[in-house]
Amino acid sequence: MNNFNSPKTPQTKHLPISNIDTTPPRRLRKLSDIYRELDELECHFSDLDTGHTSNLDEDSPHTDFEEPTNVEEALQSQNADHWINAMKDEMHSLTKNKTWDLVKKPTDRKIITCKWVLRIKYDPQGQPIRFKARLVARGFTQVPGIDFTDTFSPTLRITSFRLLVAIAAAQKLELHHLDVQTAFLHGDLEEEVYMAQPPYFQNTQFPTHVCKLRKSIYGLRQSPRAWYYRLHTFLIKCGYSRLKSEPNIYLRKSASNFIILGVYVDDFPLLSNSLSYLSFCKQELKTVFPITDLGPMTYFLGIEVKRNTSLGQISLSQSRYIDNILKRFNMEHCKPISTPLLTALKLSIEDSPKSLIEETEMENIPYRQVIGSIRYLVSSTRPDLCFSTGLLSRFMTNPGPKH
Amino acid sequence: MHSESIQPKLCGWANPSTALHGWTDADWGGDVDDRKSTSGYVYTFAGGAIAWRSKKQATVSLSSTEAEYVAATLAAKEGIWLKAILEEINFAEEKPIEIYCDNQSCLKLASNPRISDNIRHISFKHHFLRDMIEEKKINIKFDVGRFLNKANRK
Repeated sequence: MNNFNSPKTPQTKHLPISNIDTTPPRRLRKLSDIYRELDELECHFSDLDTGHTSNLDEDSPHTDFEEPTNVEEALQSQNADHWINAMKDEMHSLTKNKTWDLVKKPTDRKIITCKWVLRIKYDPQGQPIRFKARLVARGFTQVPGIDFTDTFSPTLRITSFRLLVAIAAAQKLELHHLDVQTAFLHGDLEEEVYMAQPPYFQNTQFPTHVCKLRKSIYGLRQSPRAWYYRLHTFLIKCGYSRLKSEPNIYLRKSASNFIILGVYVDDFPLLSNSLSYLSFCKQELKTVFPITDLGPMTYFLGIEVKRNTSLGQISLSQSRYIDNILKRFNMEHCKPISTPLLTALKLSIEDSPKSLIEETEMENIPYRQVIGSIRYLVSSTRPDLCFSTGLLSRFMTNPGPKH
Repeated sequence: MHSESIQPKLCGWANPSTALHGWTDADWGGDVDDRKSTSGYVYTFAGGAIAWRSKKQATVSLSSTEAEYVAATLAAKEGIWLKAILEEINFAEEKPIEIYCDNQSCLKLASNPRISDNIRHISFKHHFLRDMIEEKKINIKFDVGRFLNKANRK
């Protein structure tokens, strides 16, 4: 870890463990163990909602509003009214979308359960702006071959994204960004999937009926695939053609104009040589999907996109992400250095801890977490760190102090 | 400290040229534990880097030439794909992709289909590079570009 623990900054040499996620890294487990654990989980889930939402992002601003871990907690909190309204909204859009039909419970099929995930959306100043409730199916209880067949769905490679941005810079094209709301709810399901009625919103007339899903819903194993194919069919109908070399880039031409559309699940980078043709294509998409037009691209997948029109330059940076990583690992006061690794440095397994005492010493240092965070950086905007992280990753299983 | 200061402008594009250039390098026997080498490449387009990779090779290379050759093949694979995308959206240039390599004998090995004692053990899949050069899809040149395999950048 020479790039961070430089000898000149002794305060970062031994990282304090507070504020750091010290959950043990994932170990290899037998498949049978995983299945058994899932079965146990299911037993827990049978009595309504005991699941927990994943932890809040550590960097999210502190406010008096706390996100409830389950519906019971939400209904007892001071924001109960907000949460009830949020759930009603979601139910309304699900019904409007004809997401499911209420049917009698089939005897020979497994019923997938669902839960409410409650979230607060903040504005950049850290003020809560929206209470959001989303109904999520517990997709991990689905049985392969019966409840779903194929789950593969292509996603845009980060290289392709950079290529698109580079083309926009070279050819001085418009570069815009669209975002589809509740994308997964538009996918049509091919398989028959039965889901329990949402907690607290059971139909009073048929309380024992179940929902036979027509549309994909968040949490189902095949949802990303269903959404991708729904979008694909629509784009082809509109006259777009899919590239053979990259299934997430679509091209459409008219007499003198063209548009290139990248698909990253529900985020679309759009390139065009004409602003009017671009807005025509946006309108067309808006007739079918609820779309937020984010205008010229400024922020995509956590990468800041800056355009300097006078120089004709576009650059990507992740300084906010870097700041967040440094803060997370208590290194924000470390000294910036331009060389990530000493040239003469050779690392070996020999440097890995051999005794139990050495191992426990290393346990307090979040080696894997640091490397993991940097890896995303490497794949998105930092070719210069590529070799160092690759090298350091090789000692992931048993890192020693030298690393 | 603010990361703005340490973030070099690597991902920035301002050049109207749409030629694709690749740089490739390898550190022969760089891993002190198993003596395997690491391949690396960077592709630039319109004046900025768009694709890069640093990957430890699967087999032990017997010579630096072999290590470089394996690295150049890895780069060629990526280059062909990038070029395919550019072709489909009509931004590709007619001329072949230029790949720069810093090993003279690797260059010779790639452009001449001859076999000698020192290279005949090299796995066939790496001769993909040769095919691409023969089909004029790739043009390999000599240049010292130390990007990804050495800890220092350039």
